Amino acid sequence: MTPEHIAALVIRWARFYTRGLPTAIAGRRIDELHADLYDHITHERTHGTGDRRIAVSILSRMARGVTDDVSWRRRIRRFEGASVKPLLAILAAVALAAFGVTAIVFGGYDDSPGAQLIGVLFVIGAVWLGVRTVRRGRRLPG
Amino acid sequence: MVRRKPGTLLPLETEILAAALSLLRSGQASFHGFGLAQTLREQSTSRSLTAHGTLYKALGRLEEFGLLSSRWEDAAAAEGRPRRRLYELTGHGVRAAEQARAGTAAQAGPTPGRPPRLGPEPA
Repeated sequence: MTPEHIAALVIRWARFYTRGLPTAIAGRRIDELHADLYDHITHERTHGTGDRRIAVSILSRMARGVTDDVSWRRRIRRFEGASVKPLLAILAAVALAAFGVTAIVFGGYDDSPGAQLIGVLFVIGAVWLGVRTVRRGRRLPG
Repeated sequence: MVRRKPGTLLPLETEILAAALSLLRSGQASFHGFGLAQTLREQSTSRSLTAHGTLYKALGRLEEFGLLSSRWEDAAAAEGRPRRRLYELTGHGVRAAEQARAGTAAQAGPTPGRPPRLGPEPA
């Protein structure tokens, strides 16, 4: 195994753990690794280190960092998910509120207290969902 | 994996700041991933370079905290090799690095030092 083979393995692993992440984040990590691996191999060869030793060193750096790669991915996914979820929750709250108000108004026309009660419950649910989403959004990520 | 106490830096992050500060004081304001891994190896007793995942995760965290800033190297400066991501200490980072250094010095003394806290930028 040459250092270049191991470097290719590192990039394959990086492509695997960055899959599904935003292109800019994944691209930055992969490009940064390309530069790191190139510098590593060039530096060691300049200093007369044998190819086998360089390959082992790169493999060791990859293996020791696997848990951090996975936890980094998890954290990025959590933030990315967190940016979409509040939007969906607000949309759901608006839809609930609209449905609730409609039920209250039409329940009044039809003299249907059951429909009005359901409408009130929907509006209360919408307010609760909206407040919860806003309060969660104010918390800083850890 | 090392657990983070809220508002504090992990040992590796403190080491990175200290290394960045020494580089800055020796006239090298910016550094890149592999160069940093080498500096960290030279400054410690370890014979191995910091793992890729550990190093870039820590650099990302320091950037999120506003202690480091980064940019891509100019294509012209790369001269055909892959472009490096260049990191620099921010003003807040310099203060945190000095605080970390003071903490390390205190740790060597009779009273144990505390890890630097990540307070907000002074107004």
